Amino acid sequence: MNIVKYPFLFLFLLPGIFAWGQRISGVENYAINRPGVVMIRTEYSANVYVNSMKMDNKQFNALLDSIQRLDQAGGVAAEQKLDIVLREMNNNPSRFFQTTFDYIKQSEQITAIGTGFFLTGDGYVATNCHLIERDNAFIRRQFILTAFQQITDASIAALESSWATTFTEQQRSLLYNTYASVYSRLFSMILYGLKKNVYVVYRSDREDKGPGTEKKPASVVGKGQPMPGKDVAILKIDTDHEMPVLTLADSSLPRVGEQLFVYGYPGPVTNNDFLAAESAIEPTLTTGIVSAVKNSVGGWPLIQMDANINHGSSGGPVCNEKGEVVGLTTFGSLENTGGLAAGLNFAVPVAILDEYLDSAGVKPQLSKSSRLYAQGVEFFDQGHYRAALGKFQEVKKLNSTYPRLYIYIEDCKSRIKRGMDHYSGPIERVLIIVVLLLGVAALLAWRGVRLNRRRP
Amino acid sequence: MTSSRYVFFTNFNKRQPLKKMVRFITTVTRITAMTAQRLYS
Repeated sequence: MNIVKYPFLFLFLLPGIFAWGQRISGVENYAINRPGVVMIRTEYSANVYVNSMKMDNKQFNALLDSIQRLDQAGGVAAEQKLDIVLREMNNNPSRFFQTTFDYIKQSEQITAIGTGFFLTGDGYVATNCHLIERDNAFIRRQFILTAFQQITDASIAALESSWATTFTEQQRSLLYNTYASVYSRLFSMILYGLKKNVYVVYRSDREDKGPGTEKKPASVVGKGQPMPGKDVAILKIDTDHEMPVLTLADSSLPRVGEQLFVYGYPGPVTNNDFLAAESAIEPTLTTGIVSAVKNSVGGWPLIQMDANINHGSSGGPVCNEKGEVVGLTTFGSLENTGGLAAGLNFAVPVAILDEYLDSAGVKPQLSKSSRLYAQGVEFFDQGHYRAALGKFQEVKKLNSTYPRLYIYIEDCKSRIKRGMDHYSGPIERVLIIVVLLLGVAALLAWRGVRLNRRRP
Repeated sequence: MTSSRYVFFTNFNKRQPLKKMVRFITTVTRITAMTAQRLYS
């Protein structure tokens, strides 16, 4: 142990002490907040009954007869025949497709995925209302469109298989139009038994098994209305552990130009085929600034921000440079063409969430495990691995499945073993205080001597 | 006429079609397939 370095160590810690509650780096922001970020899944299920269809072989043969006659006249190349058939089917679908009295029953499931975060250690979660409650007409349309797409895809694949051909993109597009026309004009689709379940999915690690995920059914304990209403919801899950929690900022609005850290599960990442399934639970962190503070049509404020956001990020925490939640990612803007207007997104401020927390009687509070974990991360980042290990071991007692905890514990042990720990135990801390007090006493004594000398 | 210019950031995931339905459609299409062979004759 090198005693001489402790006063310097104390000097290094001073900025940290003064910076408490002040700015933290993006790395710290992620390390502290990531464990409390969760995925919200609203699973809708229903049976879709689709009027089955049959191709009219008689009409089909008649068409082929016509083509054959053209062929005999020497006017049709072999590769043109398929195009002619598909064009004719598109021009006059009712001639080739017949309604039957059979219905295909398709059990459908549509999942609305978004983001949320823990407000309390006992399992209260904040998210957007539109994730858990969309109007029935919208959901029914989603089911019908999904059923149409699946049946069309299956029909085209079946045609390709039994006609022993592979359609070109142009032919495929023509067939899509044909089936769209068939299903919208000739056949019916009926939706029956629509059900909804809301789940909170979060990372749950185990020392022996590594990273894992937990999916818990959630009940809705408070909610506003989807935009243009106050688009927030409070969920509750039952949990045996003390959950990781994010800290809410006070109700004042962030200032334009302030930096923001946005957590979410953007669909293009969640659905990316090149990524392993277990990575889906890792949230994406994007950054931006407060671009404007606007008012909603309802008269309450909204935070405009330029952070890169996509489908799946709704309900995610928008944090400031102190790591506190200032809002919830909620909606974005569209270009005239209908495409997403990048970097023109909006968050509902935390003050709106506060209203619903009050009415639901939920008091957001940093859990003990989160506080200890944050202290552990701070010690770890400063190289005090022994002190960090102590904190992480305490977190383990409260929640052994805390995300990334076992990784930190292993890292601490390994670094201590390699002699990398900048040890700062209780004895050293006492020594630092003694040195500091002696310094202050010496300063006061010196000033006293000087004052005495000046007196006549 | 103006249309809505906002979008909610919800990711809608849809389950793949059931095998039963695909089998049904394949059967229906196969009836026509016998006729369709004439396309290549």
